Amino acid sequence: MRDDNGDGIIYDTDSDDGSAPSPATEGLVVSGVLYNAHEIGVYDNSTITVDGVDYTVRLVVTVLDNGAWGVHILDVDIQPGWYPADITAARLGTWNGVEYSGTNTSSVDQMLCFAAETPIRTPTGWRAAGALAEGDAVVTLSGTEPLVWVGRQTVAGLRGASAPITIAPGSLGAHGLIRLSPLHRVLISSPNAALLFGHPRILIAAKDLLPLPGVSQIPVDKVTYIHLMTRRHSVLRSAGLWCESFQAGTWARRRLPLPDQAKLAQLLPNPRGYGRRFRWSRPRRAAFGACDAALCCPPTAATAVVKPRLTGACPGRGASAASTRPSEQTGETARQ
Amino acid sequence: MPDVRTWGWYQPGLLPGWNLSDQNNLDGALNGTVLSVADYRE
Repeated sequence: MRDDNGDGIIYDTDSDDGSAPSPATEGLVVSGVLYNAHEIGVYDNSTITVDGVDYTVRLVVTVLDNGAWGVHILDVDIQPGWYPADITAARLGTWNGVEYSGTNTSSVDQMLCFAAETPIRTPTGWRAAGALAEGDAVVTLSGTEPLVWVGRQTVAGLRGASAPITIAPGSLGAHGLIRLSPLHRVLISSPNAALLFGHPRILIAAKDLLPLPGVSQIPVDKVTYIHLMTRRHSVLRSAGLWCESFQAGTWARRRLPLPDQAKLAQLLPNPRGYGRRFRWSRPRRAAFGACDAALCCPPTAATAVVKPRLTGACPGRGASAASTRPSEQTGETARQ
Repeated sequence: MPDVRTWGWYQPGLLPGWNLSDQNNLDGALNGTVLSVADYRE
C-alpha cells in the first residue's frame, strides 16, 4: 500500500461519495506500479487459517481500477514470524455496511493511548488502563470524570510508529513505569516551558521525550493500547504522571478502527473544538519536537526520584512532570 | 513517497462475485466469499 502523505489513510476513488479523492499518488503498489483503489470494503468476523488454526479477523478488501484486488488484515494480533504465505484459507465475514470515501488502512501507526497495564488513578485507587470500562470514574486534573468511551487496539509494536515509549520510574519525577504510544502526551511543568510557549505547563508527546534519560522506545512483538476518553479532553493521573486522555478530534478519530469511529460519531457528532480547553497543548511556536522537549527538560546526572511539587521545576532537572494530586488542584484547568 | 506495506496479499484476477462495472458492489453480497490465497503477492 502506498500512503503518499503519510496520514495512514488510503483513499478510494469513488465518484459518488462526495469527497475529493487523493490525487493519483495513493493506492496499492504491485511490482512497483501504483494502482488506484476503485472500491474498498471492510468485512468483520472474517476468517483466516494459519497452520490449521482458524483466526477471526477483520479483512479489508481493496479492488483496483483494473479489477484486481488486494486484501489486508486490520487490527489483528499478528503473530511474530507470520507471513501472508502462511495463510492457507480465507473467508470474508460480514460487510460492515460502510461505503468509504476514505478508509484507515494503517491506523495502527499513529495512536494516542496508554499501554494496557498502565495504572490509572480512580477515586477508589489505581486500576490498570485495560481494566477500565465506560462509566468508570477516573481522576483528572480538574476533578473526577466518568469515562464516556474506552477503546482498545492490539498491534504489533515492532516499528517506530507503534512501538511504545517506555518512561522508567523516576525519570520525570515521582512516578512508576509507564508505557505510552509515541504520540500520547505527558504534562510537563517547567519554567523553560513558560519561556518557550507562554505557559509553565505543556503537553509533550512521549516520543519527544526520548532525549531524556530513562525514556526509551522498546519494540515489542505486540502491545495493547487503551484509549480513555472523558466528556472533555482531560489530563489523567497515570502511574504518577499526568497524561492526556484520548483527544477525540478529527485527526485522532480517523486513526481508530472503523467501528470505533462510528461509535464516536454518535457520542461526539461534532469533534471540532474537542480539546481546545488545554491552552498549553497548542504551543505558540509552530515547530515543536524533541529539541523543545530537551530544552524544557534538560537532562542531568540526577535521575533520582524527587518529591513532586505543585508547580515549578524539579530540583536538579529544571523540569518535572506536572504533579498535582486531586487535593492540590489549582483550578487552572477550569480557566483554560 | 513512502510505501506502507501492510500484512496482506494481492490477487491479479477478479474478485469472485465482484463486477468491475459496478462501483459499489463490494458490499454484503460478498459476505462469506471464500478467497483464493494461493497466488498471493505481498
